[in-house]
Amino acid sequence: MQHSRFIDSYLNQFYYIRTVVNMKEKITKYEYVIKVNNKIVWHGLNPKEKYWEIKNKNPGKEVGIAWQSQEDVLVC
Amino acid sequence: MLKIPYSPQESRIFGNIQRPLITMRIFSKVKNIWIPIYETLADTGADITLIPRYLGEMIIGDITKGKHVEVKGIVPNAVLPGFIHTLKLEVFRKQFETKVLIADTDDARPIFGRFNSLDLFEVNFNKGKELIIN
Repeated sequence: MQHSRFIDSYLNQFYYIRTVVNMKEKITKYEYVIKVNNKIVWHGLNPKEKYWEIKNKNPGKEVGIAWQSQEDVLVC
Repeated sequence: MLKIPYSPQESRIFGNIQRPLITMRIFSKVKNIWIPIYETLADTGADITLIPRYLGEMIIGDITKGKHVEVKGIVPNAVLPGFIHTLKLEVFRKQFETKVLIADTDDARPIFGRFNSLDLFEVNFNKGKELIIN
């Protein structure tokens, strides 16, 4: 009986964590990417301060930004 | 004449899909520099050029000073709120000013649309392989 309760508790935690992970995957289905001379140096959701920081550290190099997602089909 | 090959991207449906992605440079009034925005979708189906919120903030600061609009696409009942601003762009080696929709969300792909943007050029979407700009 106690053993069963332990397993139930464990499974509940597992399902909870899996749900949170799935939600995060859905929420963060896109991200920004910063490239220096076409090489990815950073990716994340808030590129604003990071871009200026990377730009300042790479004078004379092209520092660009891309927005990427996992869309399977684009219908705009 | 300028040729830009389509870019391959992953798709769970197609396995691999080729898209007309370009580099669009936008002049940042905040820092007085040009910011290259890679992988911008050249989209003849979009009325206006569009960028997501963080990029808008990097380019003009407070995006809410523009004209507030709500645009719709093909998705029923889905509305994308944003602000219209006049920005300086460089695309296909040409500089020009145009109205750009800065979306009030980051979940919006940068798009090079038609109004005073794609319509400035003679562009051939050549058989799903390349853009040819004359």
